[in-house]
Amino acid sequence: MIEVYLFLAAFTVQILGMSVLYPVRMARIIRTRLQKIPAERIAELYPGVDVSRAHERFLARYRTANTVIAVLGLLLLGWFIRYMQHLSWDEGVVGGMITAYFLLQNFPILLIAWFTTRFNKVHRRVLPEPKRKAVLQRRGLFDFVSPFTVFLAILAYFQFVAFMFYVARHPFPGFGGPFANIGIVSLMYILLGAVVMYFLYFRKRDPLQTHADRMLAIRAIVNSYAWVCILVPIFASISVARKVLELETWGPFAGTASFLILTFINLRIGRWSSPLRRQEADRLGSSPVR
Amino acid sequence: MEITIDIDDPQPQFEQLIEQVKAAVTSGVLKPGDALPSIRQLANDLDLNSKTVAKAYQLLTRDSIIETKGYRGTYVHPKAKSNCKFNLQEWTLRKLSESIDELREAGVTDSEIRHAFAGAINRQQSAK
Repeated sequence: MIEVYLFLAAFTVQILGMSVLYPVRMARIIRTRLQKIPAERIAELYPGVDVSRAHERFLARYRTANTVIAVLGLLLLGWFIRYMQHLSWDEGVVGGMITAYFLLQNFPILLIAWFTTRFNKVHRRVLPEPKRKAVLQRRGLFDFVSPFTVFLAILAYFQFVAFMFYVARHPFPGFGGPFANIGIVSLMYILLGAVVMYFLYFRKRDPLQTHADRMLAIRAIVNSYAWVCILVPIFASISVARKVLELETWGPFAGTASFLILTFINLRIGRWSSPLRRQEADRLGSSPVR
Repeated sequence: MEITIDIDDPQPQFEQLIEQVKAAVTSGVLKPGDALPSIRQLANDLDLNSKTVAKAYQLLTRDSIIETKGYRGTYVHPKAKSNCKFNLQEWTLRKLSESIDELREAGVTDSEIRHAFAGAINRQQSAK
């Protein structure tokens, strides 16, 4: 029964952390970014549009979406409390619901990204930039992520492969075989690797983005994906190990804890990243802003 | 080191790029062995066609200011600083002027020189 109480506590933290505290922080970051851009530059890019009012409208919608999701989370928590008192509660049902809820919690940030893209498409003037600037320095993976983090990602992958072959020698009912599991994880590595490559070399889209800001954005994405590559094989191994050891009732707690760890690491990624090169830290702007 | 390309400037973009790389080498900002960005990265950052950057890199490689080390990328040439001082265009012009003076002294007309020059270029190309 201890695992049920631990799960309920972790799920409460998930609701509060992801649908209350995280949105407050995001709103503060968005407001700070907007305040840093000179008013004349905004007027130049968005003629006749009250951008700060539009931003406040976006933030209000973002807040509303998160409040609705937090309330849904509390209702779900109430249902879990009732449902998990029965001895016959199903781990699959609870696991599926917490995964669906985690995906729902990420929906508002996608919503705000969609609103911003649509707003820019409609209102932003495409200004020709007669003077284009670039830093004459090669960008590489290790400029943004430490070799140790990459080593951990590779180690996590091989740990998972070895563990899958070990489990294949003593399979349990429902085990899909080592190759299917390894294939899924390999596909995830390839996909995330391709996204990282794209972000390292992609063309700059936002005329307001300075070179330093762009470097910070790449650093956040690369580190975030590196940690996903480290954690996902570990979480998958723990999930399989739970089934081998017949600890299935710990599933919901393990799932919620995984989501919390992923979110926490994403929030802290800025501090854990490798330091930027000096020129990048000097905030060399590639646009007249800042 | 930051470089700037002015698209309103009548000077071709690849020449602006070459000049700024040479200036960086001459002033010591870029040192022998320093890694340069890939063609794709620089083209994306400057929002230029990758062929423009490739042409600049090709000419800088020809002048031994940069060198390409296969998949490892492009680096500043060990003798880049001294090679920057050498102006290939000026040297070509001087060599041609010397030959033209010699031909004129021998009584060859300008029209004949032009015709012979075109013929020599064509012969060289067909020999390749």
